[in-house]
Amino acid sequence: MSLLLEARHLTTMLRGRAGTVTAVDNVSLSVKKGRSLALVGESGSGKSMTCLSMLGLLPPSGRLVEGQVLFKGRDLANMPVEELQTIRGREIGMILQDAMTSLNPLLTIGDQVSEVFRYHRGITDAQDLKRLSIEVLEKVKIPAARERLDSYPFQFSGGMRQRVSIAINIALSPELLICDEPTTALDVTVQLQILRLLRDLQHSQGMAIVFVTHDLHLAAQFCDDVAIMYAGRIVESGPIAEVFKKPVHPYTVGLLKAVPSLSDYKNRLQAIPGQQPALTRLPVGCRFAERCQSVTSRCTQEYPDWFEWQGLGDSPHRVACWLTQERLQASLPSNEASL
Amino acid sequence: MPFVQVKDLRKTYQIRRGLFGRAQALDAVAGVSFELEQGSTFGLVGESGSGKSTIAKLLMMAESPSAGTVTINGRNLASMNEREKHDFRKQVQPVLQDPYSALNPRMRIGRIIDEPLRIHKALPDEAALNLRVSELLDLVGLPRDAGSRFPHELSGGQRQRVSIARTLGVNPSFMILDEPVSALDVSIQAQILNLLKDLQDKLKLTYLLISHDLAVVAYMSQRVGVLYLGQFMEIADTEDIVSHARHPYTQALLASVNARSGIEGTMEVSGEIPSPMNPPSGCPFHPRCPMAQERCASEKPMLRKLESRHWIACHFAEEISALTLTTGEKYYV
Repeated sequence: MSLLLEARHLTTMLRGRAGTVTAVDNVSLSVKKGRSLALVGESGSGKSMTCLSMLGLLPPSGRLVEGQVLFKGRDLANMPVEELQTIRGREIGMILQDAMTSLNPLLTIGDQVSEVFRYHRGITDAQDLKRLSIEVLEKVKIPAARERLDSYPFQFSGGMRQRVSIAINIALSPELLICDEPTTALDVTVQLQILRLLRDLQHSQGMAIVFVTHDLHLAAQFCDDVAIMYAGRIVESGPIAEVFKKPVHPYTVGLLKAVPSLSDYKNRLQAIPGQQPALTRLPVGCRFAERCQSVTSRCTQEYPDWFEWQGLGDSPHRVACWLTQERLQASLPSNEASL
Repeated sequence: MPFVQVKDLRKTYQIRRGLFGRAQALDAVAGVSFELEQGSTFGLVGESGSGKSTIAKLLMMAESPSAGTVTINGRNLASMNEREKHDFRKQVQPVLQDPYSALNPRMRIGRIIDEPLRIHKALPDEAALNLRVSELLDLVGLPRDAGSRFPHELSGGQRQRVSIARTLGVNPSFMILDEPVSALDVSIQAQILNLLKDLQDKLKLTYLLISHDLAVVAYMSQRVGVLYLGQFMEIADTEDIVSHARHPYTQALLASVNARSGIEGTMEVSGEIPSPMNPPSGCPFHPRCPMAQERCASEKPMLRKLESRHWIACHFAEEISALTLTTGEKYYV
C-alpha cells in the first residue's frame, strides 16, 4: 500500500518563559492511503505539535528546525506558504477539539461552509454555493441542512458544531484528514456518533486519517495503526491490533493497565507512578526511565535506538526501549515476545 | 438510617433572557431521591446538563433547594442553626474537577492546606498546624517539601493531591467528588482514583462521586445512579448497572464505553441531550430512545422498583432485555 504522508525526523522547538524546549524530538511517522493512524499521548507529549508542524501551522513561538514532511512526494516543510495554502483545506483537512473555537461566531454556517468553495474553487454563483454547501452538510448528516444555512454556530449543539467543522474540512474531498481530539469536548453518547461518522467518511471517500487522542481505547476502535508519544518522542508504533494485544514498551503496557474498564472494574487499577518529565528538564537517557519498573543502568544513560520487526500486521512494529530490545532479540523470529 | 438521605430534591432556576425578558423556569434537578450508606460510594453518572453538579452544590449547601429534603448524618440541612452549619462545613468537603483553578496561585501549598484549619480554629498553634500539614502531605503522597512551593510548580496530579489534602485537614466524614479526575492525564487518573479509594478505607469516608465516565464510576462506587435532564433513569448496585442495565439510556452509556473496549454491536442513540429550558413531554429520554413508543411521549415514567435494589424510570423495563457484558476479558492480553 502506498504512502500518502511521511514525516521524517521532525524536530520542533518551542520558545517559552522557561527557555527553549524541544516539543517534538526526531519524530517520524507515515500514513498510508485511505488508512488511519492514531497518535496517542498525554498532554505535553507533543502529539498536537507534531500535527501543527506537519501542516506549517505552528504558533509564532514554535519552529520546525529539522525534518521533512512528504505528502504525495512533495515536502510540506520546505514549501512556500502560498503553495502550502493550496494544499491545506483542499488536500489536507484539519479538525480541532472544540468546534466553537474553529468556527467564526459572527458568520452563518452557510457562509463558513461555502467559503471553502469560494476560496479553493473560485465559485461565486450564490445558487451553486448554496447547493454545494447543502450537499456537504447532508454528507455529515446534519438534519434539515437547507434551513440551517442561515444559523450561527451558537445555535448549534456541540455535536452539530463538530459536524459542521467536519463538513468544511471534507468539502473538497481531501485525501488526508487530521483530527486533533475531535470528540474530547463532547458528551459520551455523542462521541460515538462523531467517530462513526468519521469512520464512514473515511471509507466512503477513501480518506486517510490522523487521529490525535489521549484515549487509547478509543484509538483502538477507530484506527489501523498507532504511534504512542511520550515527552516529545514516539516510543512505540505499529498496527493497532498488535500493539494492543502485545504491547512492548513499558509505558504502553502501563497505560493500558491504568485505564478503568467496565469488564474489569473490580480489580485495583495499576497506576504508573510519577509523572511525565517537564520538557525543560528532560533526562539524558530514556524519558520514561524514572517511572519504569524494569529500568536498567543503560536506560538512564542512553536514549534507546529504534528496534523494528515485522509483526502480524502489514506495517512494522517499532519500539524504543533497551530492555525489550534485548528480550525481543532473543525471542525473535519466533515472535512470541511478551513481558 | 442511611448516612445521606435525599428525598424528592428539586432545584429550579429562573432564567431571564435579556433585560426585559420573561423569567422562565429551568428544572436543573427535577425531583431526585437516593440514599448513601456510611463508608460507601454513590456514583452519579450523566452527560453535561444532566444536573449532577447541581446536586453536588445542593448537598454541600452552596445552593438551597427549591423543594425536598437532604439529611446528612441524621441532620436535616434545612433546619440547621448557625452552630450546626459551621460543623456541617467541616463534615462535608468537596473535591472539584479542575485542580488548576481550585488553588490560589499566590499561596504556598502549606498555606493552602492549613487555611481550612485556621478558619475552623481546629488547632491551637503554628507548631500544631505545621505538624498537621506534614501529616496531610504524607497522607496524599506528596513530599514534605511541597508545602513551601507554589501551585504552578506542581503538575495536575500533584495539584489534585493538594486539593484532597486540603479537604482532609478538618476530618470530614463525607466528601463530594465532582469529576475529580477528568482534567487529569490517563496515567495520573489511576493514581488519584487509587488514592481516593485508600483514603476511604483508612478514614472511613463516605463519597458522592460525580462523573460522566461510567468506567470510573463503576471502579469507585458500590451504587450508581444514572441521571438524565435532572432525573434518575436508573439506580442500582454497580454490578447490576454494568451487567443488567435495563434503561435504554444506561445501555447507551454502556455502549459508548464498551465501544472503546472492542465490544461492538451495541446500542447507539441519536441526537443530543435536549435543553432543560424546554424538556420533552413524557419521558425525558424518549426523543432519543430507539425503543420509544407512543406512551413514552405522553406519560412520564416514575422511578419504580424493578427488583429489591434496582430502580428504574421506564414504562417498558420488563420488555427490554438486559444488556449483558459478554466479553469478560480486556481487549489486550
